[in-house]
Formats: sequence, C-alpha cells, structure tokens
Amino acid sequence: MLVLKLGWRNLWRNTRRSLITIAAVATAFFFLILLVGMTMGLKDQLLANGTNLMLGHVQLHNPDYLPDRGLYDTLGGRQGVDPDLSSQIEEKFTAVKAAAPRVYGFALLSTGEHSAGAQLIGVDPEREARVTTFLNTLHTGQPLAAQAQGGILLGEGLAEELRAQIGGEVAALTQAADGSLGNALFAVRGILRSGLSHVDKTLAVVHVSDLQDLLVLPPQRIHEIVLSLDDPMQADALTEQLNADSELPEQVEAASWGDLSPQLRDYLAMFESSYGFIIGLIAIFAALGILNTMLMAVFERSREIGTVTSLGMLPEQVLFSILAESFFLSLIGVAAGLGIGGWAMNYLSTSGLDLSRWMGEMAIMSTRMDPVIRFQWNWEMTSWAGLTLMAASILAAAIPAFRAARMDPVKAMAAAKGV
Amino acid sequence: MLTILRIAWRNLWRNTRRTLLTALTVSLGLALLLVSLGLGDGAHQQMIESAVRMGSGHVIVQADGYQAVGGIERTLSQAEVDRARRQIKQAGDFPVVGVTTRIFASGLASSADGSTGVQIIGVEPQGERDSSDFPDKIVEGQFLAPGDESRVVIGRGVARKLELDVGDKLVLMAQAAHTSDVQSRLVRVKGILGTGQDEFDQIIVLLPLSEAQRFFNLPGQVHQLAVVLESSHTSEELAQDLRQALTGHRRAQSPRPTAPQVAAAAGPQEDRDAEGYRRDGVEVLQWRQALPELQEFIRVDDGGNYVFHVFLFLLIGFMVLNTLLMSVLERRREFTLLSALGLPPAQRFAMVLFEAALIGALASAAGLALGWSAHKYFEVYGLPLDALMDMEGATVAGVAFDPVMHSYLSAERILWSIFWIFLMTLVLALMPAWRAARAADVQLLGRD
Repeated sequence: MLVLKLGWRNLWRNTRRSLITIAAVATAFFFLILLVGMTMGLKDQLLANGTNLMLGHVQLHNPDYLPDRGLYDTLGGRQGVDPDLSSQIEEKFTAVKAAAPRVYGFALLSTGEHSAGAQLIGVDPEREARVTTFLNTLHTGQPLAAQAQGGILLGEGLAEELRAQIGGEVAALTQAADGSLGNALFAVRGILRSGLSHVDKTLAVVHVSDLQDLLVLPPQRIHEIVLSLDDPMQADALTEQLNADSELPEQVEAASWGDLSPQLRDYLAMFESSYGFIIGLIAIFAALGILNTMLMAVFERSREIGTVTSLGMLPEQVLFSILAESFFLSLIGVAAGLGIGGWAMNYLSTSGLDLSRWMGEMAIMSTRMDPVIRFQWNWEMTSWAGLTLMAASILAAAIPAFRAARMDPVKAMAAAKGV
Repeated sequence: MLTILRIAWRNLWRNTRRTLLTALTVSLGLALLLVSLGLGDGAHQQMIESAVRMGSGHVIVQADGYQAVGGIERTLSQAEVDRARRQIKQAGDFPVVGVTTRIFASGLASSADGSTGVQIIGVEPQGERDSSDFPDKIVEGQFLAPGDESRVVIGRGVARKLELDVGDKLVLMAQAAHTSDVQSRLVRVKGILGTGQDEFDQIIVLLPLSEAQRFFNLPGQVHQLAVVLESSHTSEELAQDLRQALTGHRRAQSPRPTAPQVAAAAGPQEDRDAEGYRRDGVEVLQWRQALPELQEFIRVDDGGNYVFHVFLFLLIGFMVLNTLLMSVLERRREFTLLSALGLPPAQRFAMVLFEAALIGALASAAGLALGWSAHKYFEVYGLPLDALMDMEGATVAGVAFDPVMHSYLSAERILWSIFWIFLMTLVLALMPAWRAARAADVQLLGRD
C-alpha cells in the first residue's frame, strides 16, 4: 500500500517529466488507434467495393448451378420455388437487409449490322436496387421500369460494340429452355457504366419476367437469389443457418461472398495481415520510444533513489514504488490516448476522411471506389496495442529501477552528480 | 561556430547512453518508414508486373483509337510493326525483356457439349515466352510452340464449360475483318491455361498469330505490339521515346478523347475514320493508360497508404520529440551552468541544434542501413503473409494474390524518407533548443 502511495506521489513531484512521459504513451496509443481504425476502415471499404456492385453478401442457387450457370439448374430444380421466396427470406432472417431474384441467360444481341454476345441478367428492379448498386450506375437514359415492359439496359462497352442508341431496339437471340430458339426485341432504355470494363462489355439487364419469357421459363423458375446483409462479416454464419434451415425448398443452397469469390476473401486476408504486420512493427517501435523516455526519466533519478535507500528504504520497496509509478503513468497515458483517439475516431468513423481532398475527384470510379475512408474500431488490435505500450513502460522503468535499488547508495548518489 | 559544433559532438559522447537512445528512436523510425513504404509499393509493383504479363505490356503500340473504341479493322500494318521494333532496338538502354505482337477478337467456341463466348488472342508462341506469364500458367498440356498449326490453348473455365481435355477438338467461330461472313475453324486443344483469375480463364482462347491472321483475314497485321521491361519504372521514358519517334508527339493524348474533340483537333478530314481517329496513325500507351482500372486502383490505394504514412510519420515525430525533450530536461542544470560561464543564448541554441543534427545524421545512416537490410530481405525472400495469419487454401495465383509480399523501394522514396526524418529531427529540436537558450535558473545551480 505504501509503495502505491509513494508511486502516486512521485508522479506529481516532477510534473513536467511525468507529463512528457504520459504524452509519449498517449500520442503513441492515439496514433496506433488511428492506424488500426484506418486499416479496418479500408478493409471494410474493399469488401464493400467487392460485394456491393453485383455480388451481394450471400447468394442462393441450385447446388449444380455454379460454376457453369446452366439454364436448367434453377432454384428448387424443375418445380422451381415460390416467386415470393425473396420476401419470405427477408422476413424470416433478421440479418438479411434485402433479397432479390435473378435469372441469367447468355444471348446474342444484335442491332442489325452489329452483334455481340452478352450476359443477360433478369432482375426485379425495385428489389435489386435495395441489394446491389449496379443499376445505379446508369450513365445515360432511364432506369428499368418496375414492371416488365421490354426495356433493356446495356453496359457501356457493349452498347458501343452494338452501336446501340437509347430509344433504339436490340434483338436478343438465345437457346430457350424448351429447346427452341428464343428471340425477342428490347428497347434500349439506358447505358450502364460500372467502371469495370469486363462487366461493361458483357452486361445487359432486363426485367426478370421479360427474360423468363425469352427463355421460356415459368415465373417460379429463377437462377439466383442475392442477399445483402447489414454486417457482411455475418455472411458465413447466415449461410450455415440458411443451409441448416429445413423450411427452405429442396435444391436450394446458400453460399457466402467468401465462397463465391475466394479471391476477394484472400485479398482481404492479405490486406489485413500485411497491415497487421506493419502495425505490429509500429507498436513495437512506439513501445521502444516509450522505453527510451522512461529509461531516461528513471536514470536521471539515480541520485534520488540512492537517497531513499540510504534513508532505509528496502530495495524491493524502491523497485515496487517505481513500478507503481510507471504503472500509473502508463495507465493515465493509455486512458488519455484512448480519450483523444475515441474522440477522433468518432468523427472519422461517421464523417470519414475524404481522400479526394488530396487526390482530386475520382469521377470514373465513384461507383466502385469511395474516396471517403470511414474508420472502424477493432477492439482486439486496439487492446493489444494498449497492453504492449503499458508493458513497455513498466519494463522500461523496471530496468533502471532494479539497477538503482541494488546499487550502493553512495555510488548511486554520486552517479548523478557529474553533470 | 566550429567550436560550438565541436562541443556539440563531444556532448554527444559525454552521455553515450542518452545519445544512443535518442539515435535509436530516430533510426528505428526511419527503418520502420522504409519497411512500410517498401511493402506498400511492393504490393503495387507486384500487381503491375503480373498484370502486364497477362496479355498486356509495360508499353503498347496500337492503331490510333484502338484503346478507346477497338474494332477488328483498326490494326497495325507490317510496316508499322517493323518500324516500332526498330525503334525499340535503337532506343537502346531500356531493359527490354520481350516484344511481342497480338491480335484480339471475340468469337464463339463450341464442342459437342455446348458453346460459349470467348476472347480469342492471336499470339506469337516465342514472343509470349519472353514477355508474358501465359507459358508458366499452363496447368495441363503445353503452351503453343512456333510452327503449331490448328492448336490452341484455352482457359480452364472454357475447358470446364465445354468439357474439353488436352487433345480434344473444338470449333472456333468469329467474324473476320472486311467481311460480314462468319468464319469457322476446327482446332485442337494443346494446353489449358489457369491464371487464377476466373473472369479471364472463362473466356480466353490463345491461337498462334499466323493462324489468327489468316482466320481473321488480317494478313501481316496485328492489333497490338507489347513491350515488356524488367520493371515498370522505365516504361514512361520508353513510351515517350517511342511516341516521339512514331507519332511526333511526346505526350499521350487523353485516354478517351471524344470523337468531336479529336475531329476538332484534326487536320484534313479524309485522313480520319468515322470515330475521328487518324487512319494511318498509331498510339503509344504505357501501362497506366493500357490498364486504366489498375492505375485507378493503385491511385486510390496510394491515397490510403499516404494517409497511413502521414500518421506513421507523426507518430515517429512525437516519439522523437519526447526523447529530445526528456534529454534536454535532464540537462537543465548543465545549460544554466554554461550560461553562468558566459555562453550566450544563441550559442546554446545552436549547440542543441547541432547535437540534433549530428544525432539525425548518425541515426539516418543507421536507420538507412537497418531499413535497407530489412527491405533487401523482404525483396529477396518476401514476407510470407500466409504464415503470419491463417490463410488456409489461399492458392489463388494471378494478379495481386501472391501471398508472399515483396518489398520495392525506389531511390526517390529512400531519399525523401531520409530528408523528412532528418528535417523532422531538426525541427523538433527547435523547442528543446529554445529551452536550452532560455534556461538560466540560478536555483538549479544551488540545488546540488
């Protein structure tokens, strides 16, 4: 008890020295919080960039559908599923923010003189807009009508290849489900510019009913239901939950974004571990910096330590009082760092840090790359950083304190004299 | 002043421990900055290198407008290709790894099990060996060899969709240039390509160039001449040299000029095609223009890295400031004594600044040595991220997914880092130096 009290009083005997050390701990912790927060924010942003455009967070398919996207492998097999399955899933699973049905077909599009192969996607425009953003990348023209009216949206590259104009017509030719050669005329309503050239060169979007008509599929046969979640990190858990759910129809299998796009998952893991490595190094560096400040502060006090030893204080008491002092010191420092860090994070996680201020506008990429980084807390990494810093300051105090406590008081007092 | 400098130098070694501790903070900070910059740039470098070796180049030459609007008839003639090749040879000093030409077209591939839309690339078998990763990414069978006839390499996704194995036959259908007829050709699978990028593997078919020229009715013509260098940092210069020689301009035109702009800038209309590009012109692009998405990605990512490094730099700065403040605080009595002995404030100020400069110089050298060795280690052996974190099954190859990160540091980055760290040490020493200049507290002298 005595040593705790001594430690606390020592702290304020030399306020300036203590404040410098506290500032060292606090600023180190503050910047570590920001670096962790920024890394996590960037990771979330990369994930959003990878999933929001088209992928969604969880997709439901017939187990045989991927990777070949066979026309006949619809959800629920030949019987199909309730056309309202999307809204049922939305209601039943609270983790699901929105769900939308899709039908896919590969077709040859032609404007008479020019033709090109395209991946036709049939969507429910209202639902799709709540799940993904590719319909919002409309560059010119009108969005797709909520009801099936024979309208089509073309990717920019595809439209260029077809020399298609808004208001013009394109003919779609494809193999239908009944074996016939399906064909239909669509009116070009708008041009999409997602910013991803491989998407823009092949993408053609129509209303789901229109595509079902073209492919001669009844309304209950769809290829995919795509879900978006409030927290993308819950995708794997939800996938398990969906696959274990007995009320879902037969031949319906859920897959998370990570299963659907292992590249994205690996890339995020790489991103996190590479930054984790750097942040680990930075934490060690910050700890060394604190060690330095602390070492200097305690070495400076050899004389004082010699005095208290000669007055009869036991070496362990000296040691523990200094350890207690540095414990209080680092605790105040970490608390202060957390305080300022929390305040900064609060601002940076809601308003975000707008990179475009330094980098100019990124108009082409506005849909894919948000120039605003929204910082995110990561308590695990933050706690580790805080603990490392505290351990470093206590250790740093222990080394000189231990030495001084065991020193011959006369020598210790002499050590500081020669300036 | 020289005396002050000498005193400053001696001061450093009067208290070796303090000097070394301060220098340690500065040098570790510099080393940390170099490692962090090296790994960040290294990741981008890796992306660029693998992207240009995947059917592109550090510098590419194409017919004017091909990048913006494409079109099978927008080709380079044999004469233009020869001229470009001669220019590259004459350009001399560039570390050229390979030069190759390609034809691009879309078509349909069919087997007994179905058909799928494909992107056909006509390639020089030897040229690709020098300048792309395709030959190394063959997962089954073999890559094309010079003299192959009616042989193709197909992507893994194409093989899966059409249920094709090495040795199987497939039919390629496509529209040729200068005709509206659809051509078809029976070919045999020689190898299967697995780049690790599904979008690519699902559509790619590689055909020998000579055969592609016949198939697409483009005798002696190609769509692209690609130059691959040892690394990307000389690509801008080579692009400028080639552009100067081949087009007379030194700078690239904007990547996507609109037709009216081009037409407005144009001379006589008869040299222009329907989209407003020069009929017999060429465009020279470096990877930034040839791969605009990668360029944008790196730009945005650099923005993030930039902020990260600003934070890191500030953190280093605060750590150094604390160390400096602590060491001056410890010496208040000494400064008072010097003042009592008649050393004017300006000289005490200069003395502390000199000390900081000397520490900065020593620490820069040590930090450079340390950071450079760490960088060299990560450059050669890489940082095995898969070992650091649980990344089971991260077998994806291709762009950006190499789980071993290699460091890349340009001389510019190193010089800037040293400059900033050194400058920072000096600036941060101003406050302690001012303290030292002011410290004349007689009581401090009496205390001992």
